[in-house]
Amino acid sequence: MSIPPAILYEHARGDSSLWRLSGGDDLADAWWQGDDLRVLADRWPELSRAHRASLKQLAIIARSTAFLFDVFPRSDVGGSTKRSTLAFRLEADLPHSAEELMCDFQFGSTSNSGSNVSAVASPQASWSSLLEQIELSDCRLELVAPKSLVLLQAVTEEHVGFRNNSLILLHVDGQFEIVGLKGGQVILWRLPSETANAARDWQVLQEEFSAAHPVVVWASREPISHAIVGEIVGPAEIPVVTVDEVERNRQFVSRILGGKSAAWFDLARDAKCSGSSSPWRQSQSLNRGLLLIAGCLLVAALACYWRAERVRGAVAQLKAQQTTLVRSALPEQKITSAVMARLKSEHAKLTGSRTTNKNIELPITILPVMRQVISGLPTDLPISVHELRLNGREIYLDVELGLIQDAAQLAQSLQASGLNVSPPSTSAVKNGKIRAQFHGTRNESVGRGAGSQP
Amino acid sequence: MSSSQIWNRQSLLFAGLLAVSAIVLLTTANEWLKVNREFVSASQDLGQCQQLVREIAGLRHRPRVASLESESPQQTIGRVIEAQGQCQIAPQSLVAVSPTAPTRLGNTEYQVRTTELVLQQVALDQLHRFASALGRNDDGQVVRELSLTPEPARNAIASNGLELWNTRLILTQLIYSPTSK
Repeated sequence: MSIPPAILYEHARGDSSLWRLSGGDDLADAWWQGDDLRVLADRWPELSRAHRASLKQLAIIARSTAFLFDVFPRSDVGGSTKRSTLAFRLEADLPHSAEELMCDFQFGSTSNSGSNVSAVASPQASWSSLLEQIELSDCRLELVAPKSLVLLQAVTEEHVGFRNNSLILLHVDGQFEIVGLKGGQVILWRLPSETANAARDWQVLQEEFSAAHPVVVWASREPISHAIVGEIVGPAEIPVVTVDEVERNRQFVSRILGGKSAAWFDLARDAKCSGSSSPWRQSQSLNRGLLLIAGCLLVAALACYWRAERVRGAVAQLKAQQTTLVRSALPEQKITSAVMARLKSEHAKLTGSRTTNKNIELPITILPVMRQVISGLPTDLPISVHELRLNGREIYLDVELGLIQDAAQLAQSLQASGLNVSPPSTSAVKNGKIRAQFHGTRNESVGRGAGSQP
Repeated sequence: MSSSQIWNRQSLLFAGLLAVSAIVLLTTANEWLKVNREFVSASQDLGQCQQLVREIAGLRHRPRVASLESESPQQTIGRVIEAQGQCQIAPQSLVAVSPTAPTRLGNTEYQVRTTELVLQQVALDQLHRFASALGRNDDGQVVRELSLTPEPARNAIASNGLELWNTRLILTQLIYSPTSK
């Protein structure tokens, strides 16, 4: 069993609107008063949950005042039928950018090189909240169209002759509209604000479209007023068609949604063509996504900047500590830059000048060994020194002694003063004396104990 | 509506904003990484700095084994004369002062400079004080060699009764002079 489509229908209630949702058996008529569709959008989730079964397909039939009409030569767009191109062409005539509009187009016969493109558009802003909610629910938007044009299409299906070349004065929602049809294309759609304006427009348009057949379609609830009609169209005899606007539209919407007829203008066409998500929705999703990513990136950038600034502060602190440390270590030097280089240079100088390098043999002072030799020479022994050589730790002593035992005593005395003395070589000299040579080195342990330099 | 319409002008604006955000993020992230590297480097430098400062403090308490600059011949002569005066060695006792040019010790960062001193008629005690006075300044100069022979006039005795000697000393200065300098 097929579920009848739900229709969201806009009725005029004075200067305001009354929206009525009707559909399947379980969908009780629901009414909302007001022009702001956001009120309806706010209630839509609750409504869609309550009537999930009935709200599978939805057609929105709105008052003509919600729409804009434009017609332009097809040559303006180079004969293109690309909808984006056509939408951008609308910017020349309508006070909105292409992105702000929901629109649909109707083309004249392609055989006619001078054919026009008719366009019906409506600003997305007024619809977006409701359409988003509809999309978020499990409901498929099938049709968004102006009620007067849907009604006229329904009428022309019965009165086929009206399609060819006619100028129609339509009375709906208590107001007159003027619609021109040519070859089944809407080439004119005007909404005069007052009856006087309608009369003037009608006169002008009838002169302009002199070949068109005038027709009056009365679709308002109140009975037709021939006086008012006559005031506009004049005394001429004009065919008049009277229809029940709501019922006729309901029937015709069913035909459209049933695939038996195609609406002249359907502002939801793009949504249906592009799949599950409408282009404004996709565009909004895309924009939101881009904005979200850009926001995340900016937040991340801000975090990086903040972190970098903190680390930079920490680096400055470390460098200040370093400078303070170096200044305290090198108080005699004026340090302004290249702190580490200065410190390393100073360290290298001190290391080089105050440490012993194992690769080189440092010059050794003779002072310790000289002291030991002086203290090691016995005072009670007659010694005649021929030569004394000191070289670092080494000692060479050449002496003349009275007795050979004196050489041993001298060696013993030198040993006692901390020198390692090898046994002396002795020889007798001609005057009966003894010549003795001593070789020795400084005893390291004694030297260290004495606190001497190495 | 074609997919190209999804990319409307607002989307392009947001895409531009996204691109700018990405560039800003890349720039700031790069800056952050750079500053992080600086932080690591500064931390290491501070650690190294602390260690060097500690080592410098330790090194300053050690005796100098090498000077940082080579002493000029005039300075050396001045040093010898000053030591001579301190030790009350007669001026005529100093026979020769022969400084040499510094020579590098192999491939090391050190140079060595020697000065030969010849003295006559000096008492042993005076000689010891003289050698001490020459190396007193803690500037890497030491008396490395000493050769002592009796005064030819045998049994030369000073007025105070001490024996007098002829001597040859080698005063050595070790100079820290890195080749990279």
